[in-house]
Amino acid sequence: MKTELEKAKMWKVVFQAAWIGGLILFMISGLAYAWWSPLPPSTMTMVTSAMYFLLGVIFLVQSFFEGRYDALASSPVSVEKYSARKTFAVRSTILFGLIFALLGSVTIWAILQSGAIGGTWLIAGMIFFFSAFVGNSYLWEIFFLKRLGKVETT
Amino acid sequence: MNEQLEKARKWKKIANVVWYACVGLILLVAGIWERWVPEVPPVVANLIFVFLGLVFLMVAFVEGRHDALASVLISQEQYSERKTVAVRMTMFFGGLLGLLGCGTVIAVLKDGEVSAWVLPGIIFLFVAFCINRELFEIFFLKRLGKVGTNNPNQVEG
Repeated sequence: MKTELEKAKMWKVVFQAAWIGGLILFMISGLAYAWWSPLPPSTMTMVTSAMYFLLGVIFLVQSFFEGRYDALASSPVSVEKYSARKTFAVRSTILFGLIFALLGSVTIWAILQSGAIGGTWLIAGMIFFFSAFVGNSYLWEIFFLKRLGKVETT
Repeated sequence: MNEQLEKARKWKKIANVVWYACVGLILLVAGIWERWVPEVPPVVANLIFVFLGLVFLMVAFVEGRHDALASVLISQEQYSERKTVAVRMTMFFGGLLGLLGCGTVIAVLKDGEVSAWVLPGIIFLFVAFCINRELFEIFFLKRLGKVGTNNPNQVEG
C-alpha cells in the first residue's frame, strides 16, 4: 500500500505540473499572439480549440490522479463518513457546474457577439474545457474509496 | 494522527472549493462587468488580485500540510529527493510565471486601456502563484516527524 501511495503521489505531482504548466503556457501563447501570429486567424482558432481540448484532457487526468491519491491516503472511513463525503462531492460538483456553466455561457455569448473568425471552432473546445472542469477530484475519490476497501461498516 | 489527517482533508477540500469558486466567479463578474463598466477602479482590481493571491497561498498551505500528514514515513534520501522535486517545480513555475507576468505587465503598460495602478496586485498574484504546495509539504514533513533514518528498510515498517 505504501509503494502504491508513493507511486500515486508521483503521478499526482507529474500531472499537477503538466496542468499548471500547460495552463501558464497557454496564457503565454495567448499574450504572444497579440504581437506575433504565424498562422491565419481561421487556423489559429482551430489551434486554440485543440489547445482547449488538450487542457481539458490534462485537467481530467490530473483530477483522476489527485482523487486516487486522496483515496489511497485516506484512513478507513465509516459508511456515515463515506456518505458525508459523497454529499460534499456532489454539492461541490453542483457548485462548480453552476459557476462554470454561467462562465461558459457568458464566454460563448461574448464570442458569438464579437463575430470572431472561426468562432464556432473555438466554442467546441471551450465547451469541452468547461465541462472537464466539472469533473473534479472529489468524484474520483468517492469512486476509488469503496474500490480500495476503505469503507468500513459501523 | 488519523483525526488530524481528517481535519487537514476537510480544510484542503474547503480551500480548493473556495479557490475554484473564486476564480470562476471573478472571471464571470469581470466578463459581465466589462460590458457595462469600461474600467474597474484600480483599487478594486488590486484588492481582487491580492485576495486571489491570498486564497491561492492558503490552498497551497493546507494542501501541502495534508500531503505531509498523509505521507508515509520517509528516509533522508527520499526527503532530499522530494526537496529537489519541490525546488525544480518552483523554478519551472517561477520561470513560466515570470514570462507570463512580464508579458502581462508589458501588455498593461503598452495598451494603456487598463490603468497601470493594477500592477501591484498583478505582481502579488504572480508571486503568490510561485509558492506551491510542494514547498509547504517539504516544510511540514520534518516538523511532523515524517523523516526517518538513512536506512530505507527501517522506515518501511
